[in-house]
Parts: sequence; C-alpha cells; structure tokens
Amino acid sequence: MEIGASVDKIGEKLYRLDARGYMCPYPQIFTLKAIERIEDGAVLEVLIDNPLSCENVPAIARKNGHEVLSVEKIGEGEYKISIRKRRA
Amino acid sequence: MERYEELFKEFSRRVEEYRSLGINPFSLATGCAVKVDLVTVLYPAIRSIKGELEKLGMSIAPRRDADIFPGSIDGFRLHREIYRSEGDVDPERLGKISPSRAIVLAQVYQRIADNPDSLAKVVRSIYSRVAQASPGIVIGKGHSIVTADPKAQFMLFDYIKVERGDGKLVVGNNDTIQIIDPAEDPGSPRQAAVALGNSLNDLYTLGAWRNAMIVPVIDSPSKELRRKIEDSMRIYAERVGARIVEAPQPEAGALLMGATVFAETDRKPPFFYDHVSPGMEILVTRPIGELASINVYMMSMLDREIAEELKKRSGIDIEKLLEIKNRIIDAMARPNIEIARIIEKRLPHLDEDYDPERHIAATTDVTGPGIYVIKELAELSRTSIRIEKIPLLSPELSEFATRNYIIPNATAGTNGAIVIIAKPRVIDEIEGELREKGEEPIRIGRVIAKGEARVAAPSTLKKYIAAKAYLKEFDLYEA
Repeated sequence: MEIGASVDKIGEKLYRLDARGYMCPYPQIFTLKAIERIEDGAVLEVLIDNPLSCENVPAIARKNGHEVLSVEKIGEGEYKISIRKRRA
Repeated sequence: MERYEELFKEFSRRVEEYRSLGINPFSLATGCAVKVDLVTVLYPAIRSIKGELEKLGMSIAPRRDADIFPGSIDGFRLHREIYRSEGDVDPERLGKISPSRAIVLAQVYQRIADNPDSLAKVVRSIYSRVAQASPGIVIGKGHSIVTADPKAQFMLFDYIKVERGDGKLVVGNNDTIQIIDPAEDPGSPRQAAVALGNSLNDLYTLGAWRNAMIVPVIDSPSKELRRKIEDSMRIYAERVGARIVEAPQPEAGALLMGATVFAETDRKPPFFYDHVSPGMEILVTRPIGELASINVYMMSMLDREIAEELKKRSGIDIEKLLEIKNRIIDAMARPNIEIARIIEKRLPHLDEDYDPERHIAATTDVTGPGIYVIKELAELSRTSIRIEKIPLLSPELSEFATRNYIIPNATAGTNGAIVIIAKPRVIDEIEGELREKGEEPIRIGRVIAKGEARVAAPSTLKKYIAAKAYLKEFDLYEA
C-alpha cells in the first residue's frame, strides 16, 4: 500500500514532494522516504503548509546528513524546503 | 519481524478504513498537538487585538484552564452558534440572546495559524462583530486548534446567559481533539473517552465535578461515524455521572470530537498564586508525555527502519511499543474524577479564607505545552521553581521522539496529569490518597523563591524537548 505523499520528477536531478495538507510529524517521515528514492546529489523540494514541520523537516534532513539549501515562504503559510541528498 | 508484518497489515487496513470515510489519517493531529502554537502564535495574536476589542466592550479573560462565573448548572442558559465568517453573526439574534459571556472554539486552517498576524485577522473580524452585538460580553475561555482542511475552518460560540446565582460557581471549558490514535477505529469508545476526559480535565483540575454537563462537539464525515461517537460519549458521560445536552454541530465533514463542559462547585478555585511561597512542593498526579508513544508508533508503522532503530537504541521492539502505546491510551481514557474529589476537599469554601496549612495553592493540567505548564505557574505566582524530576511515562520513547523530530515537545499530553502546588504536609496527604486510588503521584520539585518567574530544570530536559521556543524558557542545570 502506498502511504503518504508522492514524489514527482520535475527536472534533471530535481524532485518535488508535495506534503501540503499533512500534519506534523508526517511531512518529516515522508521527506526521509522521498530522499531514499532519489539519486545521490539530487535536490528534493518539499512543499509544506504545516508550521511545525517548517522547523522539523530541515532539522531531520540535516540530522541525516543532507544539505538544506533553502527554506522559502511561497504563500500564506506555505513553504518550500530544498534539500540536496548527501553523496554516499 | 513477522509481528511487524502483521501489525503493518492491520495498520494499512485501518488507513484504508479512514480513507473510505474520506479522512486522511495523516492530516489529523493526535491529541492536543492540534492546538495553535501558544507561545509563538496564539498569545501574540490575542495581545494584538485585545485593546481594540476592549474598546468595543468585549473582554477576554486571561489564559487559564477554565471559565468561572457565579451561578449553578440549572441557573444559566446555553445557546450555541457556529460562524464561518463575520457575515454569519446576526446582531439582532445575538441581541435577543443577550449573553454575558461565551466559551469559544476556533478551528483554524493551518496556513492561517502559521503566524500571529493572519490568525489575528480572522479572529478580529468575527470577535468585533460579536462585541458590537453584545456589549460587555466576556470571552471566558477560548480554545484554538488547527485543521489541514480549509473547508473545516469555523468558530463555535457557546453563549452563556446567567439567570440566577444560587451561591455557587460554575466552571466551564471547551476542548477537542481530532483523533487520539489513528491506528484505532475513529468511533471507538477509547477515542471518545480521551476526548471527553480531556475536556473535563480542566474542570477536575479546579476541583469542580458536581452536576457535570457535557455539550458535545462532534464533526464527522459520515452519519454512521457520528452516531458511534455519540454512543461512545453517552457511555462515558454515564461513567462520570454527567448529563449530555444536545447543541448544533459544525457539519464541516472533518473529524473532530470533544465538548464544552460545565460543572458546579461551592469551593474557591485554586488560584491562590499570591500565596505560593518558598518551601511549597509540586506534585504531578502521574507521569507525563502521553503523545510521544502514539506518534512513535505511527512513525514506526510508516517506516520499518524507525521501528528497527528504536529496537537498536532502546531495546523496545514493535510488540513492546504497541503494549506501551495501549497502556498509555488506557490511562488517557481513564477519567481524573477521583483526583477532582481529592482536590475539592482541599479547597476553601466560598465563604472561607485560604489556609496554607490545609489548602492547595495552585493547580494546572499537563496538556499540549507539557512541562512548560510549570513555567506558566511560575509566571502566575511570580516564583522561582526548581524541577528535580521529569517524570515521563516512557523516557525512552520521549527521547526517541525528540531525537527524530517526531514531536517538538515529548513531554506533551492529552487528558494528562494534574500539577498541584501546596505545603509539604498537604502534599503528603494528597500523595497518600492518590496512591490509594491507584494513581502514581510524583513530587517533581519545589518553590525556591518569590519574585522573579523562573524555572530551573535538569539539563536532561533537552532530550525531551526539541522546540527551542519552549526550551529557552527553562534554566537548565546539570543534575
């Protein structure tokens, strides 16, 4: 069974996870699972609209050794977090 | 990990059940985690509009566990209105109701609950209209929660018109949850028990339990589920000797359960903050941190690696995790009414003075802010408090939840323990009585000085709170 948000390829080594509409802590786990599915060095853009996850998604990405490139506000209560997957 | 496979199958089946009802369980927050962030959003938003509303004749009571007003359960009339925008407020109708106070539940779309300004804008528009139609109205208690569904945003006003005094006090509160355990049937008796227990807990914290009245708040995507929740609530109400009163419901099609609740008392509430003094002790009626276990279980079901890491780090396998989670939910479903009776006995009658040798000075309950409620008590009493123990239901799961950013404050709970401050002799008696009732009370610290509001806590607190906004409120010391 597919649980959680889907990951879309939106460019060369560029992916997007739309986790809007999900409550904390689910965007964190969906982000980690999405990172597992993309190639090393690729960038994952995570869209969220949950204030708590805005702090926790970057934190858990860093904890797992990935690089947080930016956290941008893209609308009222909406954020885009760009994460580069660490190279193994 | 064969057991994991079995549990995962059961979990997947449950997720499908929720989805068939049109509910995404991952869009629901567990327990009190659903509250608008108090420190960074709600308090600043209220502060920014309070003056403006006061000019219109509305006063907003300071944050406290419940609304309190002179009267009796049979001596006031209740009228519920639900607004989605300021246009829904009918000044003529409100003029006829002529309420003196209101208890408010605001369910706000999570993008609006992102910052104080956007929240203040929504609250201001409806509150202003209510204030103009009912000059002098007091918002006795407000409860603000977030939803991931923009269509489920509403404000529910339970208007109160006091008709006679009866020489008693009425204590009222609203609390709701979306779900407590997404791995369980949403209509199960345990979910409703935690929801109602959580609403009543604020009354019990003040020693109020007599003639309790429950006015349910239920939203559901289906009639069948609503009926199940109603049935479960009726069973719980009988258990605590409360009567259910019907009222209009939000009908937003999302999942929400809780109630506005009332009880009466002939005692003064434990708001003797000025009398909180050095030497007094702080007791919690049982260990805290209920929400960590549920969230760690959910995350373990979503990602097997999390379950494996938990086993590696703390020796808790999936079976043990399930057992801890179920034990904690059972504790949350158990009403704290016996604790209310124990508190009531140690409060002065309305015509009596507070006596520190016999009475409780202050209480609060441990909910969404977790151990941070001790800082709130320090602020109310202008005291310095030293916490010596952080009594957690499962320190391993709270630490794991913090390390993995699963919840920002792993000391948080729902229908949680009650904190009591009193002189050591009073605490001795309470501790003994709680043990007789099967509770697990713990003395966690003491008041050390009067004057500045500070809380010293062992530096191990960092293992249980990831949210910097909360952590910075404590002076951490090496134990």
